[in-house]
Amino acid sequence: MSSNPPTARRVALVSALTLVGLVAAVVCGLAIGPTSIATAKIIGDVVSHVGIGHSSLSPLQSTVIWQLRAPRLVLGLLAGAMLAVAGGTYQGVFRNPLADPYLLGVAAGAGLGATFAIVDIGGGLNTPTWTPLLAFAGAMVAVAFTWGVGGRGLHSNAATLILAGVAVSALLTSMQTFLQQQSSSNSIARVYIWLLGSLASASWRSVWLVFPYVILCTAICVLSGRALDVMSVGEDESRSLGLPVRRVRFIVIAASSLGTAAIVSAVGLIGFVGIIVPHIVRLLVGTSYRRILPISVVFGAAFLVFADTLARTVMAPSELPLGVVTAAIGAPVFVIILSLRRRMVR
Amino acid sequence: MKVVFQDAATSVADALSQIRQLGRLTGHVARADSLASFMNTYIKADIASVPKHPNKKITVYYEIGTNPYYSLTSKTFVGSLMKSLGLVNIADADSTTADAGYPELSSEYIVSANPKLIFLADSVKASSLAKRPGFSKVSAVANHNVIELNADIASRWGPRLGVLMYQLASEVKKVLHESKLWK
Repeated sequence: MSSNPPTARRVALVSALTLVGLVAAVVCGLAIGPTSIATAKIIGDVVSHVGIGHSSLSPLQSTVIWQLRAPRLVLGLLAGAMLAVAGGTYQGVFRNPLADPYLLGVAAGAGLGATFAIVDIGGGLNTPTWTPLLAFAGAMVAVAFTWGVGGRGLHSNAATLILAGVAVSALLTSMQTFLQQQSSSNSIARVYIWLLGSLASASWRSVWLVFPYVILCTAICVLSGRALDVMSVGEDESRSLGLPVRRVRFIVIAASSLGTAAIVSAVGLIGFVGIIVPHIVRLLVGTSYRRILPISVVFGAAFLVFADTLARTVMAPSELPLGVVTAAIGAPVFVIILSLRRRMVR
Repeated sequence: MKVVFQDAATSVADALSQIRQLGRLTGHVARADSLASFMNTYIKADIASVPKHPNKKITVYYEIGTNPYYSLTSKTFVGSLMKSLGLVNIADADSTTADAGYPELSSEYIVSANPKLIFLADSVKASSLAKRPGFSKVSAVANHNVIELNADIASRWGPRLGVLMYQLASEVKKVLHESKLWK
């Protein structure tokens, strides 16, 4: 993309601005909502939790901050970070700019699992409990199936895996559509809402459920940056340089898919983050995955929290689907940056 | 073939009028009139049984759907019943023409509104509300004023309308008599 590698100063500047953006996103995520609560009071309350001063929030306002906005904020940070770094990792490991975290069937598998729980044809399922569990199971089964179909595990190559992912996704999507077709209009509406993604049902429980997956998988993805840089020259060349390509690919895909499955099970299918954030970061700091992946973690987290703040305030007290907002913001921003970058290169 | 369309009733008078119209169309004028008169008397008695409470503002949240949460405003049929009992519907403040009286509400909006009374008309268990993030602090949940309604009765304006009205009025009277709510 860039004819010249970015200077260290530029990378440092982008990193610093991204961190500033993250801090701003956290403040917005806590301070903005359908209920008007003064930012100073919120900061005072946060500080009072570490023993400095006293909170002036009412018990109900404190509940809004700590039981509704805070878990939603943290889940948004985790989801944005995971989807962005998984997208960047997939783009690196498949050497495909169109790759996103849902490439190997995570979305279709999770969608089928969630639809099964929501439609509940046999009856007797506790939908709120089973939806994330079946979504997670569906996502993992889909990726395992893709891995099996795409060339017997470690002996597969990138192109075969992508094609297998397309085939498995199509198959699972057709099964999901069949289930929907057998259900009531009420169930179809609920499936549709789930497919568009939302942080509305965030709780501390959902945060703790996904937290270990996201931390572990994000760390593995970020640490794979050097290997992905080597793989960018091609599989055969990477092997000749001593890189165990198949093993690296397996570990990286497993980590990305596991983290994405955990996030999708908690928040549904949030599109665009995994594809748009790594591309924006790449345009800003160059093509090295050692830079792209860690900055994508922070950028993705900030981006999703900003998007969610918009989703829950633009039409408050009702909410916009988060997937709609991520696409509505991400696409124009990406086009603008792409356009500016082209001018700079010329 | 003669086709008759009856739109959703928006008030008790509307519902009774539709019952009388059905009686005329099916040749049961006297029975329909009798039923409508009986329902009217019954409903009026329920409304009259609730003491006027201008100094006790009973906020109410009526849930008709979850994930996301959907409610109804005083412009709807059930909303008009609650209004006749002097309840203040938290969904009214959010109503727009686009939602046709059935707005979507965020959990933050519901928790902040802190309703004193909650009616569940979507087969949701009252005990499950305390498990929703933030809801345990809501007055209605903390004081066990969350009422499960029969979804079948609550969604229709037929002869069993009096049963729904009786249940609504009973719960309002119970809340009015809870001294800890009005200190």
